[in-house]
Amino acid sequence: MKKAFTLAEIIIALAIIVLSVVFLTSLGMSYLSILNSIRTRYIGLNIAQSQIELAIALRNQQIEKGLSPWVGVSAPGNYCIYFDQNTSRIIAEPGECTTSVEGFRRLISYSDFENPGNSNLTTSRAVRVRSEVYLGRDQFKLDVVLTKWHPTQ
Amino acid sequence: MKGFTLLESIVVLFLFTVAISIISQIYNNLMRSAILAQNYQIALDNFRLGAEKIWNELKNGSNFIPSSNRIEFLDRRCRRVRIYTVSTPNPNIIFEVRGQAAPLFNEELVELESFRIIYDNPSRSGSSYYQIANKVFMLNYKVILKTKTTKIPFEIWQTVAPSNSVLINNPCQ
Repeated sequence: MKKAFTLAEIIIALAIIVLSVVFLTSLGMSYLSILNSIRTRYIGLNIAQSQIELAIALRNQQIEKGLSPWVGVSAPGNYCIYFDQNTSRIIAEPGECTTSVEGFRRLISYSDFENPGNSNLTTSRAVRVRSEVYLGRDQFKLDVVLTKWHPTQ
Repeated sequence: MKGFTLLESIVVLFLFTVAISIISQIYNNLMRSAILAQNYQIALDNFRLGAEKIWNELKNGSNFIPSSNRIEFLDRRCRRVRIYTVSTPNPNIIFEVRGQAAPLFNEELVELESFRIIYDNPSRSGSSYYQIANKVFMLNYKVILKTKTTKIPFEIWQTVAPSNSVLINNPCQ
């Protein structure tokens, strides 16, 4: 009698073939996910850095006007800082920034660096500014400490 | 002597051809993905290098004369720097230091679609440098990252708060 393959042999052979194909396909997909990850990280870090720059520029803008550097952000907490193109000024509004992109959140928080319990930052010598960006599962956080150093302050 | 029938041979050859074509297709896709990812990384690195150069120079610059798509200023060594766009022979940003112009991006990797500068409007009331200096620049880059197989559009905003903008005295006087 002619010898044939058993069901177990066929299943094992098919499983090996399917696994090889799946492995090669997933390898190809992983390259594309790396590509997407590179892009997301660059964009996320750039947004976080931009928020820090806006916070520095806001402080500098207040110095220009002869005001306390923390006017507009005198209470510790979350803020949305943005550049108003109509008035060409930097604006800080309490709360998180609203975005229409799903999974994207950005906010900036202010706190007293030396005394975290201080509720009035106008008396602070140093303020910690934290920039947070959430892009889907990725999150980016950058910190900077801004101090009162300007002669006009 | 026992051999294979014609039908058996044809079936085996057919299955072999199908298997080879599937595997070669997967291999091709794999290689294409790898090359695309590598080229994308190279193009993005070239863009980042250029964009960070502008960011660093603006961060440490002073005496800015901005407009919507070009900016002129003095760098940390008080050399005159101009950043502007050109459309020929290839769209690019030109970085010019003391009259020596050089394209910012490698034209084989990055193609510029548009470059826009948004800036604040200081009060300009007073004689101190911090009263007249720009406090923030927002740069919008729209580029196409070129890979060997495809072109990928990319847009990003960069924000710069120049370090010198709160100095009492002009750093390049």
